[in-house]
Amino acid sequence: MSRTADPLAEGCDGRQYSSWNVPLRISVIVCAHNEARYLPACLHSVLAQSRQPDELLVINNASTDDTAAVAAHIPFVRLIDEPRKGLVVARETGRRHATGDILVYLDADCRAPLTWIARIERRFQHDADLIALSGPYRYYDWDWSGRALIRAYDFTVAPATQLLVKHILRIGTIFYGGNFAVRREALDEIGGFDTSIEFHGEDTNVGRRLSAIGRVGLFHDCYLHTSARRYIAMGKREVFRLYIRNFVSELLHHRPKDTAHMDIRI
Amino acid sequence: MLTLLLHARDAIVMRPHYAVAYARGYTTAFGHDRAAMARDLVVRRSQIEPGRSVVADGRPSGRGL
Repeated sequence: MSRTADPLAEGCDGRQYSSWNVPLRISVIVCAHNEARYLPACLHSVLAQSRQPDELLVINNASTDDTAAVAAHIPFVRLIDEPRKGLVVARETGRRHATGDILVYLDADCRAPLTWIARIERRFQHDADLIALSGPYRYYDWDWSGRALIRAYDFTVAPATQLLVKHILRIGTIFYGGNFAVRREALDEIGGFDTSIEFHGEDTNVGRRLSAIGRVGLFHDCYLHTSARRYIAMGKREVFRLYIRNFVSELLHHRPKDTAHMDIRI
Repeated sequence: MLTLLLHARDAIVMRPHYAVAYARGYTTAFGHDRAAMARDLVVRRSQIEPGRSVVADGRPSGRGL
């Protein structure tokens, strides 16, 4: 392993990123708008990790419920208020406040598997060219047909789509907004998040821009458990349509199709 | 058969991680919560209440925090 001795291995495009077995500072960022009900289980799933984060940030995004109070009561959490409502605005606030080498983003309704951060860290440590990664979702509150449908999607549609858009057309990548990790330098290099995007398509946007400057991976072992509340509230067909049209629009026109979104918090 | 093998592998590989998490006050939600189909989902032990999903609903119960 020639990379072992080199703390800063050179990437394929000349950039230098922390590499093999070099300890990485990991910041976990949870953006929350009125998530008092879902947030504690999310934060505790992060705190229970086999590899604990070096920093855990909660971005309280214009919440009108007890989100801030709930987060403030959980030890180790650094609470940051962002009064401007918007998921992408909150993610950008997280980027500006985080101090880690790797910024890990998850949504407030997600629950991290016990070795989730360890797997992410291992991926970055073993691959100096990797600038960002994402993983699929597994749904903890969906019926069996929904779960089966998503697993079938993960092993059929997603790889085929990834092959087409990333390896053949080279116009972007599949990137899951509620489950991704990115090297801070890479995110800084692309200028952070595009805060002009309201909600849908923001993940495809950041994935496309990152894949233009380095390697972005999609790894099955970096999966995350999450809620199917959007599918339950809006219906499978409608949500799939929504995701597909914004994915395609963002890749082809560099703008998502939908500017408005439905608040599905129940 | 494959599922059994995967469970067996998880039981061995994950056991040290479960032990550390348990010492920190967490436990696997599997067996406690219908919503938790996966063994790698952990919850705070003090949040577990019969009849309430601590995975889908992490609302502080007054004991959990």
